[in-house]
Amino acid sequence: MKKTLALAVFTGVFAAVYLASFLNSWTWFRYYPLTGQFTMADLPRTAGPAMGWYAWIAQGVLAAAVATLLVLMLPRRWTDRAWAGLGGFLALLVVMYTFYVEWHWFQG
Amino acid sequence: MITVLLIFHGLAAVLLLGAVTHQAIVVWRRKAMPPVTFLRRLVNVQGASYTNATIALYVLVMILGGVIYPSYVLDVKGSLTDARMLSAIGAFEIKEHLAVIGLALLPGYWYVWQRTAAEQLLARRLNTTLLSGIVWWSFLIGHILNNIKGLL
Repeated sequence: MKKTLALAVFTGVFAAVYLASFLNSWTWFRYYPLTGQFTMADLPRTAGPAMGWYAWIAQGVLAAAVATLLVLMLPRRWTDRAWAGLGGFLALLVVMYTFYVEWHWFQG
Repeated sequence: MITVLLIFHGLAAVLLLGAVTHQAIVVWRRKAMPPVTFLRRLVNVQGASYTNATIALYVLVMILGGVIYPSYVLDVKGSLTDARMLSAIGAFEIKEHLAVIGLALLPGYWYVWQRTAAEQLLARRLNTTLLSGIVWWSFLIGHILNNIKGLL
C-alpha cells in the first residue's frame, strides 16, 4: 500500500508541478531552438523564441521524486488505505484543469 | 533529418495507439467471450501483455517528440500565428501538456496492471482509459497540425 500511495503521489506531484510551472513561467532554464542553447539566462530577442517545456518536465520529475521519497519514509499505518486509482484520479483532475486554462484559444 | 524523425515519431505513435486502444477496450470487457468474430477476437486478448509495450512506445514517442519539438516552435507555430489559427495552437498546447501528464501516469499505470486483485479493476480502467484518451488526443492533433503545415 505504501508503494500504491507513493506512485499516486509521483503522478499527482509531477503533473501538478509541471502545470504550475507552465502557468507561472517557473523555468530554471530555457532552450533557445534558434541558437541551440540551453541557458539559465534570459537571452535578447535576437536569440529567437525560448522554450520552457524541458525545464517544466525536469522540475516536475524532481519535485515528484522528492515527494515520492517522503511518502516512502512515512509509517506504514499512514499509507495503508491508498487506492491504486488515486494517481489516475489526480491525473484526470490535472487534465481537466489543463483544458480549462487553455480553453481561451478556442474562444476567438 | 527532422522529417525522418517526424516519420519515426508518427510510426511509433501508430503502434502506441494500437496497443493502448486495444488494452483500453479489453479493460472494459465484462466477461470472456469465444473468439468467433473479429470484434470478439479484438476484446479477447490478454490486456496485461500490452503494458510494457505501451510504456516503451510512450517513452519512445515522447523522446522523439521532444527532439522535433523545437522545429514546431520555429517553423510551424509562427505560420499558425500568422494565419490566426489560434485553435490549432491551443490544441497543440493541450497536447504538449497532456503528453507530460501521461508520462507522469506511466508508473501507476504499470503498477495496476501488475496486480490482479478485483479491487484494482476500477483503477486499471481509469488509468488505461485516461492514457488512451491522452494518446488519441496527441495523435490526432499532431496529425492535424502536420496536415495544416503542409497546406500553409
